[in-house]
Amino acid sequence: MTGPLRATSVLLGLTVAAQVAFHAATREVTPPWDVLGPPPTPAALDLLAFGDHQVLYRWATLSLQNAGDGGGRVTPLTDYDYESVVGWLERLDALDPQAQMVPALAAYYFGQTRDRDDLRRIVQFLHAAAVHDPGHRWRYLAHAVVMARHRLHDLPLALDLAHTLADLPVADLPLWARQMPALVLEKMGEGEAARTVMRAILATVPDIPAGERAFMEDFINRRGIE
Amino acid sequence: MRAILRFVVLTALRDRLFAALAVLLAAAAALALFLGDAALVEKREAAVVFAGGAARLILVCGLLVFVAFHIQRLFETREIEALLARPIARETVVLALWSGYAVVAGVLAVGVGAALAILAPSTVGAAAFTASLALEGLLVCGFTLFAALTLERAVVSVLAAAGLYVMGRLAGFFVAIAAGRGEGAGVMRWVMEGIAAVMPRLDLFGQTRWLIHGVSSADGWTVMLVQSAVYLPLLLVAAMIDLRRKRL
Repeated sequence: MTGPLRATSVLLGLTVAAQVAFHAATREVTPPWDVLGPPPTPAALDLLAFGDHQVLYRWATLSLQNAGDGGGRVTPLTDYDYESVVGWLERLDALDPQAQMVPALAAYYFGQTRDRDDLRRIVQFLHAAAVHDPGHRWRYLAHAVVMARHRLHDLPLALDLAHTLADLPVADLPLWARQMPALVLEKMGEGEAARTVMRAILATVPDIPAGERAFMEDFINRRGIE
Repeated sequence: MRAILRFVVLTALRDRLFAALAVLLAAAAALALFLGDAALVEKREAAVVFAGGAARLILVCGLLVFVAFHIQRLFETREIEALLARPIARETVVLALWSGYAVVAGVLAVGVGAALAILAPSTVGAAAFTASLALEGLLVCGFTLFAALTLERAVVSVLAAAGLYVMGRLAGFFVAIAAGRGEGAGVMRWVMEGIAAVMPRLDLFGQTRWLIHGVSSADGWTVMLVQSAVYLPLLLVAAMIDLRRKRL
């Protein structure tokens, strides 16, 4: 080995050793790896959108769907900060109020939490999202009713949401959605009120299918009394 | 002029620009389908938006690089002098070069649009996106041509043109800050106002939401056309003045 080459090799060895020493000194310095950071401001979203909010909407909702479940780790929903989750949902929903991705993510994914306070936040979000665009999103209010009744066991809230759902100005709202207040009232033990709702539907909704009419008449005559 | 236009298109073919971008676009489409499939709902919508966004980025980068390196090569091989030695005005040379790049941009945009039309829920939206992408391509060719003729070196031209493109896509953000709807106050607001005043409003071009929701009357087609009609002549005239001042 010639002199200059030997000197260069020694220099290489020293620089590699310096790099390894630097790594040893900084190996505890890691980037913060939160499950989900705080939601960005609308101005920050404008900047990130780079002039096309739809691409940002799709990318960010996909990232929100996978938040906490990357890099070889899986995060239970109880470990999420739902204030932050709902903040993200609200901010992203504002980017495309016509799309279904954000309310679906709230109803089908984040709505699976076992924490009642967190679930209540999701119910409130679904309520707001559905009322904002009832024509496309009334289904998510039905989700909210089911969550309030069966998971939160908050019947007054479920009744409020069911009434909101039944009164939505949606022409093709299915009969089962209009019947929801009656079903919640029956669960609350308000038989007479439940029958009154069913009678009102029978009297005002035209062209009710025979099977559906039979169910409603049975409800009025028998189930509402039980 | 037709000879120069044909020369540009043949150069694009010779440089395998169309083939290279087709491969990149196909790869981007495959990745978009994969990502879209990972979405909880609206998988098709997510895939088409990712594909549209990626296609725009690939198209713009391809045009930037092609125009900048083509002009650099014209200077290096002294072909630019051969072009200017012909009995045509320098303004015509600029116009012919831009027209050639515009044909390339148009062909690429139509190719992208045809592929997106297969995926997109809204065919009308896909057509609008294609037209908008073509307009964006024309502007990109315009400011890369200006940068390359002025700077003569490809790397710095690509960086300058890419910088202008980025600023153009963020122009809406600058306008919002200048109007007091975002963070920033005082001197910064005036700086933003100044930047916004000279930047093309590229944020109004090529919205991928059209691919899903279609185009509404509120989507500002007129604004986009007027912006192109104003900014393209500005860029071309600037390039013409610069070429006129060069001692070639």
